[in-house]
Amino acid sequence: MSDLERWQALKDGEKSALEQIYRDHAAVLFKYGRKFIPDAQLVEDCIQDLFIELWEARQRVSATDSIRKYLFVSLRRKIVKTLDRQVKKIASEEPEERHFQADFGIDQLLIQGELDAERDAKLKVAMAALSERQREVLYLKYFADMDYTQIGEIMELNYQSARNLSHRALEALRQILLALFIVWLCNFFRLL
Amino acid sequence: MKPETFTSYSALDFAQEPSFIRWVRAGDEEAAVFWQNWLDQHPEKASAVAEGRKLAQALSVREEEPSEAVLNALWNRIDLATSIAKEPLVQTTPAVAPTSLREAKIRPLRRWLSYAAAACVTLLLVALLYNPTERVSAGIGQKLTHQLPDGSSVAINAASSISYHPWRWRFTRQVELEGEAFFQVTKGSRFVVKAVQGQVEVLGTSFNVRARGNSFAVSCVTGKVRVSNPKGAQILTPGLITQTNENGDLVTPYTIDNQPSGAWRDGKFYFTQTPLEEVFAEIQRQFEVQIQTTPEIARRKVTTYFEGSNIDTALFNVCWPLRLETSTRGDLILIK
Repeated sequence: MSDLERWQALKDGEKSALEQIYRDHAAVLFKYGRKFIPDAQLVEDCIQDLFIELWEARQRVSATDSIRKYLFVSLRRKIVKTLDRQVKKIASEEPEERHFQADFGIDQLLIQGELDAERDAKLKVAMAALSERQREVLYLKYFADMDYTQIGEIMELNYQSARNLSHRALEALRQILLALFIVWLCNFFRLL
Repeated sequence: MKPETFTSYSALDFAQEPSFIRWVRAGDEEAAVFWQNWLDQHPEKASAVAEGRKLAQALSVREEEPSEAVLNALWNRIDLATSIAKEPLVQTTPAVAPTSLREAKIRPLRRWLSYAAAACVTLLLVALLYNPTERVSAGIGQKLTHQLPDGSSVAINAASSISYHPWRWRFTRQVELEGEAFFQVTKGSRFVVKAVQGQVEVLGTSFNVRARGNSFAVSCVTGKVRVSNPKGAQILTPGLITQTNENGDLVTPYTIDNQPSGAWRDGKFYFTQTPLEEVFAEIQRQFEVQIQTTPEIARRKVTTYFEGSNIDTALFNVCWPLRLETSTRGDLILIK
């Protein structure tokens, strides 16, 4: 069943469609939400509200070709609202500041040898060079399987901005890989 | 997919191409076939593709997979919530079909009304909660007279303070007191003086309250005064005094002829059967001096009197009849 058909079934009031949508996307949504809010319980609450509201508003929701994108957009908005509320509660600091914290690593296969503690620390420092928005775009691209139109909608960017952001993020990643390679080379020669 | 556009791709472009990502990261078969074929036709792009692969492959993320139990529990909650919401919807839809139009018209109005109500409640809350406190304190060696919003006046003795809420004064006449003060209350609703040690309620009268440390004493000059503390209450009529004894009880009201209430306002201080330490404490507050004495002397109960104009005379008045010797060392006065 395609996304369009499943969405139509939901709009027709089929509860099984809601459940299937949940089963297909809940885990991915959960992992994405945890990047903004470390508190798992709070993420669960957001997802719960999201699905309840989706069901209550099913007759009014617009058609979508990507259910996952629709859910990501909704969840992100919900999280931003929740965080703003929290931030305002704590102090009226800039509510624009959102934190996307993906604990990125570099695939083991690419860095020859084991990841010792020293190298792990270096990698962490290198990864800090990625901005939070760059992290998010990379995450959506490589772990949530989104294209630029979808990324743009989720991150509230136009297509070109989404592309540019992704390009800069990858450029930064390439620098990191290069730096890691140099570190590796140095270690290699020191061992000799 | 348009194979010709890929010829201009750099490693970065490849790493961002969805089908390329599917090939590298997910091992998608359809994508794999396509890219193998494409590479065969464009061997000159082999290095760019290799770097693109590396980039697309590079990232890994450490994240916690939600457990099956958590996901199932969450679904059960959603299922429950959406089932409850469904029932009234199904029941009312057929019957209310004609009124839904009317409902749609009412809704914006009702929404505005609810906004207005919310605004009113907020304003009211702000007015109630925003409650500035007026605080008047007299320092050591100082005496103040303060006029309350209703015209009542308070004379505040040295090292004492009162506080009250001017905004709420209209509804509750209530003053919090630390130390000693003489109140002249204009007639009106209940007037309350609260101290840590107890409280005094009147309608309109003048009276003196002394709330210092363990001692709590109230004397009535005119009108009627109700004095209470956690252990009990006493009613005072003009000329009567009550105070707390060693057990914290308010003693039966008694009269002292030679001790006019609130005489301290004229700089006259009377004490009847009062421990000397209280007398010395008053001298310290009035003259900004330190007095040191032995515990036995401090506990002695005396009936005495001093005037607030001169420290030497005051000390002489208190100490000479008791045959106590005074010696001065700067600000410190030793009494033996």
